Amino acid sequence: MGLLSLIVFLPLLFAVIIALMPSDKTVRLSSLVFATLHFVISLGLLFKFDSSSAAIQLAEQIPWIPEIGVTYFVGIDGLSLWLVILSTFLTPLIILGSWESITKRVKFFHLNLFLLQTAMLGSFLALDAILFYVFFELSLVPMYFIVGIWGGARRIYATMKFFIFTMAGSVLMLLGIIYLIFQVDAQGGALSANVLDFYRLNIPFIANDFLNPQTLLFFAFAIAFAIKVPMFPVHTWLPDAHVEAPTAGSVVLAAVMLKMGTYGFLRFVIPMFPDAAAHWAWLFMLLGVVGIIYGALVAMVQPDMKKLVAYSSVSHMGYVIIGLFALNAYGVTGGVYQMLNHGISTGGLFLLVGMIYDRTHSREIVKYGGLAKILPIYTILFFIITFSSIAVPMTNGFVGEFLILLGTFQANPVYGIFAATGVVFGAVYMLWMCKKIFFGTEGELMNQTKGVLKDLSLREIVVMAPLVVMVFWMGLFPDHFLNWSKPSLDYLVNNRENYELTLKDANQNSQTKTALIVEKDEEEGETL
Amino acid sequence: MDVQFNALREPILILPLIILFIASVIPITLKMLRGNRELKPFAAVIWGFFGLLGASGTTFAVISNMLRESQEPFITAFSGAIVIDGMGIWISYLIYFLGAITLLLSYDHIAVRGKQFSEYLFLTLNSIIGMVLVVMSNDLMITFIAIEFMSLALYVIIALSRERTLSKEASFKYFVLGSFASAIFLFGISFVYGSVGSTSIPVITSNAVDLFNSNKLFVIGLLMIVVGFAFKISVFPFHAWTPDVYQGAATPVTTLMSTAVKAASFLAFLRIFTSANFFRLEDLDFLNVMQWLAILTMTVGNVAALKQTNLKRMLAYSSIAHSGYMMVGIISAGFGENFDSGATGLLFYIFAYSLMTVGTFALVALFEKKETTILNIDGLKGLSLKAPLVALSFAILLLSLAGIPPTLGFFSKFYLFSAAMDQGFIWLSLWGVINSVISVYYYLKPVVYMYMSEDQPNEIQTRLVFTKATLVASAVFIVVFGILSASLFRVVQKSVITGL
Repeated sequence: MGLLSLIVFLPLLFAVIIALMPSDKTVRLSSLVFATLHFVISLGLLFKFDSSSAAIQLAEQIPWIPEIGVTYFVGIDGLSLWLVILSTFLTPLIILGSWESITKRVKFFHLNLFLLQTAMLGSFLALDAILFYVFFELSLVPMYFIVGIWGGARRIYATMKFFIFTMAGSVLMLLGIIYLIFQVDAQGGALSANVLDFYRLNIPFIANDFLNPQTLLFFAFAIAFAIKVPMFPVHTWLPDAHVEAPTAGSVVLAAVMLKMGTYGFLRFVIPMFPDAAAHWAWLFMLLGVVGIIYGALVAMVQPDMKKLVAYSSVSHMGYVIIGLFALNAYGVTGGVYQMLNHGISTGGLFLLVGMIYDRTHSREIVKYGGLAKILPIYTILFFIITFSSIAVPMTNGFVGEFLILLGTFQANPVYGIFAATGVVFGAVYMLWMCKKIFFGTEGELMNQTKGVLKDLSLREIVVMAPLVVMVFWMGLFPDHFLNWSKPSLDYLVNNRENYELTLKDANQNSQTKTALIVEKDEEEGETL
Repeated sequence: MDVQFNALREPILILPLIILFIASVIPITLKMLRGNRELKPFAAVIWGFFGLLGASGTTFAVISNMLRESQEPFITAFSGAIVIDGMGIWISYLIYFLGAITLLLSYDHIAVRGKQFSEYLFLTLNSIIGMVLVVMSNDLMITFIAIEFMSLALYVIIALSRERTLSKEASFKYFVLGSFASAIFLFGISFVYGSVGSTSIPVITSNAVDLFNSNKLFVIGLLMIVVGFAFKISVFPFHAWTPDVYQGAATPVTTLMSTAVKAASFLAFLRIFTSANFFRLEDLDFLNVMQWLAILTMTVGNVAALKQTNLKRMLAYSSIAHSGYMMVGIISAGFGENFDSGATGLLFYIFAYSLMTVGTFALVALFEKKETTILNIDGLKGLSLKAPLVALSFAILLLSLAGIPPTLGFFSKFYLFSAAMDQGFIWLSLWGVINSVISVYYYLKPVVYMYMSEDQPNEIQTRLVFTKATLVASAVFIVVFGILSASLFRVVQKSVITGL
């Protein structure tokens, strides 16, 4: 078993182990230990990963359903590396963060969390379309339970909506995958669901015509991922799911699950259907910009903190989409970076909102006020994460949004102008919320809870500290992260039209081939 | 080969049925000999098991050997009236297996266990004989007789339930409507016989294309045969009996009806309608008719299931919807040059569907403390707290029925729709997957009640060991066979292509 399989299936093993444990306390403690261990193991990727190559690395391939050409095929490259580490990084924080807020069915909660972890990592690492689909759909089940069991009052409505929306999108993708499997057969290969084989396919495309294979396939895949991201106008499940989910659910959802959608665009949609992607980029840029502005405007009028953060999430994911569909080096790099940033900043905001909710059991903004005097540490942390969210320079958000806007202006200045206004709106609603909560006259809740309200405990500070460190680290030294992904991203941007990935392994031959590709890149590609 | 062996050859081919019949008679005979004193239910079930084991054992040891030695994809007997091939053998194993499960569930179940258990057993095993005969038949007359054999036994076992109103109503409904369907089926056969001059299926199918164009009576006859089958496999618009009968019958009987009967009927349907290129005839647009039947069946089943409050009725509508999916398999097997992929997809789907359905009805049986108990979906409230294993197994079964990976339900849909896409039925597959999204809503509703509510569930009977074991085992199999579906798929594919 290779490192990647270990990373994918270790959480499943953890789930089995904790299922056998008797008390809630041991379950919590050992989950935390397991998740930390898992994070450390996943850091091993950084040692094994060759950051100078755009090829698929550490690949493992075993036949699974040979009759239809489905294999168990996992591999990693610059596109998936940081997403994997992001999810393993957040899990221990989530477990620690819900230490006290999850009081019922503790074991089942952690079971679901680990199962979700396997599903998410599996979908980031799978390079077989059916394997990807299996993990992609599997991830719905634990999230369905997390929202439905530990959620708020309207949790059942929210969780059903979440499940059905996502499923409705992805079944079309399944048909698309099946079609492609037979296309590989028809174009000379054997039946294969291998994504690398899909890249080599020549799928007919006719511009300005809807009913041609490439356009239809493009939409079959893009709709699935657009719902997951979620893009305007199919975003409506997200605010419901976020508001009703427990803190842990919101964090995983925002920080990692939404990235499965954007990752899907990057891994499947853009390289597999390059002509259609270029042709319909305007639509996705447009919807992205609409999402940015709409999300921001709706966030401004939210009375509920969590809902505000949820809509800000819609707005921020709009940036990622326009970055990716700018289809140039700045945009794509920014989009990928913004995926990570959003994971840190929105994940952090949800954690912080959860912390105050645990104390007061209210998320209504008007009931707060003057919190800064009572909870100074909380206030400082909240502001740092807010700055990251609204892209203040020196924080990670700035780097991502700046690159995206650069890319967008390069691709189409009109979208760039509108997207830039979103940055201002973002600052408006976030700072407005901060002002209402932390400063000004004391709200009714403050009067009620005077003297009872305690500042963050050591546990909560430990949860937030890594996020704060990441905010500045990623903000000040983006190269530490981007250099790992750069070859893959450059290769994607420069060779969109004839995208082909090779496997990098001990085999001499393929290594030289990879090296050639990288060289070619450096000659042709515009470097950042 | 010597003459003596040849004379015995044909009886040997139906040896499983003979063994099954003898086993079915033993308990009822013993009962008579003992002065009408009922055997212990356990003893009766053991006799039934002997029969089923003997039947599947001889199929395995003798018949499949004969098929292999013949080096042909199939062998016929009784002047071509019955046929033994890989598909048939495979489905008959499935039927024996489902029969065994039904006996276990019946042993546990209050509504059928008791005064007339020997009679019940006799009828159940004979119904199974009928089903296996349906699977083996290669002649429309045999098909008809076998279907009647299977159904007549079923009419009686439905009524044998101790429950007094619903089961009698169900039996009567099923009997009246079933008789109509049989009559239409027989009428259709007579038309076909009139135009072809034979009831042998190979003869009919080899003449079909010519007759289609020249003889309208032949077409009418065939359509009537379709109607007869559509009734048995509950395809829209002949599905209306399904919810009432499934609800009224005792749960073990429902299990048998929704799985084994369907498996047998679908295979016979596949035999008759896929070998003659009916689907390729452009004049009649037979293909279009079948496609719309499939689409409407799944849509009607799924949409009607959305509003059900009674769990058994909901499962009945879900079973209708699954018939619609299975029709997709029939269509893709019948349309293309590549019969194998569609047929394999269909057989695999039948297997998966049977396994899932058995488990879900086992759950219903767990709740039936009295024969009159009605289990509504909200009766499952909070089950996950009271009986975690039962709730988890049922949740897995429901997710599998909805087609969520990595369960068997997902892979069976994947194979089925792959076969359809291979033949170019993108439109049909699209309807199929849209329907599975609709179905998610009602399949997840019990999960909501079980996991997301903290009320007290209806009382479940924990001492029904076999029922509980069936439920848990089917859930385990569904996950295991789901992940390792390839090996199972290979077995099915081999049986379709080469006979074994």
